[in-house]
Amino acid sequence: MVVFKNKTDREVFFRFSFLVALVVICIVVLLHVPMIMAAVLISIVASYLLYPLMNTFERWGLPRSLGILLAYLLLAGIVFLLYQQSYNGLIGQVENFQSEFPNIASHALEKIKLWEGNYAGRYVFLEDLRLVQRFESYGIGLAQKVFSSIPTFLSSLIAFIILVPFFTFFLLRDAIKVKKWLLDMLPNRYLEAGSALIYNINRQVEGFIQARLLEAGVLGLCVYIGLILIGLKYVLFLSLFAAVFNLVPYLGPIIGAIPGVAVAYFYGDTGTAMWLTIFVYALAQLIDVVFIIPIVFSKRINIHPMTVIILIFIGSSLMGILGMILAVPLYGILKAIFQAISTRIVVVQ
Amino acid sequence: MKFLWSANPFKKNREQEAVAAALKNCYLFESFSVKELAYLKDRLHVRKYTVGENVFEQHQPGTGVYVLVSGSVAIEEESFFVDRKSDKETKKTTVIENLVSGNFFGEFALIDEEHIRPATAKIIEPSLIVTFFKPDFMELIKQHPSTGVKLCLRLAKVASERLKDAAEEIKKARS
Repeated sequence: MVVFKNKTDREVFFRFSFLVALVVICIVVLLHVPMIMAAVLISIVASYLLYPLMNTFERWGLPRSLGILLAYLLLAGIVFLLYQQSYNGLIGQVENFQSEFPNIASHALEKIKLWEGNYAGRYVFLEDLRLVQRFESYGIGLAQKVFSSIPTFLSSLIAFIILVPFFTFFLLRDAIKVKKWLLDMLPNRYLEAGSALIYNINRQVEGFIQARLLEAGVLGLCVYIGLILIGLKYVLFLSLFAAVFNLVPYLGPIIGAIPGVAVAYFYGDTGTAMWLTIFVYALAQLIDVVFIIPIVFSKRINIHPMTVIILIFIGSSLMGILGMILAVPLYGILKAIFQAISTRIVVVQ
Repeated sequence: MKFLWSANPFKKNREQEAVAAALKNCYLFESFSVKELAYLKDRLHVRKYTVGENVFEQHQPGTGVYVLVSGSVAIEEESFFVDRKSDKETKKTTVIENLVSGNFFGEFALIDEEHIRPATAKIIEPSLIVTFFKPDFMELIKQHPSTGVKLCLRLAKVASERLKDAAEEIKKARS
């Protein structure tokens, strides 16, 4: 039986137990409802992005809630303008890409047939490989599966559109109260360490999220300019695809380049189009590695390549593409928390 | 967090009033307006300490300033010296200052980079203490520069006073 020396000790014990239990329950619930977990994580990312804007409004003397609503209005305005400007561009490009996909696939099939015809006589094993049949069954089947899953993805997107702004609003409005509440749960002797810990974690996470998104944005812009210059189709869609997949480390840039290279190879008028497209993607990656990462990611969280690949596979099996994007940042957050706690404890003790 | 059995509205009001009065009378915050004190309210941490507890310990990193609302705190410094006769290292604790309600301590943690506490703050009587941490101070400077400057000036004044006192001590010791 736990014996308390005084009333304060008893209260502190209950507070701390309550906090630990609450954190455990939250993690268990979120792991069982991936949709809510993804919405919470996206809300955290969004709140870190909107926080400086909301702070600016607050500095101008506006109440916090009004500042958040103004930040939302501004963001909604930008999204609406982009949507209006790019409807024919982006949505049209996705629709065109979807409708023209059978043509691209048949082009590809013809090229494989031609290639197989040329080399089948020389290399007998090519006949055993049955490349054409394999391409038809796997390749086209996979592509159809991807496009047929778009409506399901869109329906979950609508749920996100409702949940994310709701969560983000409260995260932004009550951030200070939540921080105070968390610190109030801690025993007196950990109060100073707890405050420093929250500050360090916050700074690391904020830097990580902002740098990652900025990096993806700059890379997307580089790809966009490059593909425009070589005159490829579906430029907006392809650069956005490359930017989003660049958020997935290591595998992301390769997956992000596949549609562009495929379009150039199967749809390009000349053979050089594909090599030019590969050059554009490679150049964008080079700019990313040589300039963007050193500048933007001076305080980047270093994670071992093997850990990254394992994390991406775990994320993919748990939450699909979203899991692949969120796995590494989530690990980064947990690593930052662990590092902050361990170093702080070492210093405090 | 308030538990049902500890939710006494009268007690809470008295406590809040005592905290507000202590802040208003504290040298660091006395020039703050009601609006500025209201901004601070969400960023301050009110804590109860029991006798013998340490608010902070010597040689540990520090991040906050403490205002003593009620009770008593002793600022103690531990030092080690070698006894020439026995050749053993002995610990010596010196009480530098005894603080009473209305006093503040640990203020250099707000301005110092990676501040390490030079002394221990030990509770002598059950105390109610208000804490204000450096991250919140940094945010105050960013969000409300004029309020931040007020606090900065007060801290600078305290630092200059301490420097003068130290110079006097050195002068005395030399003569």
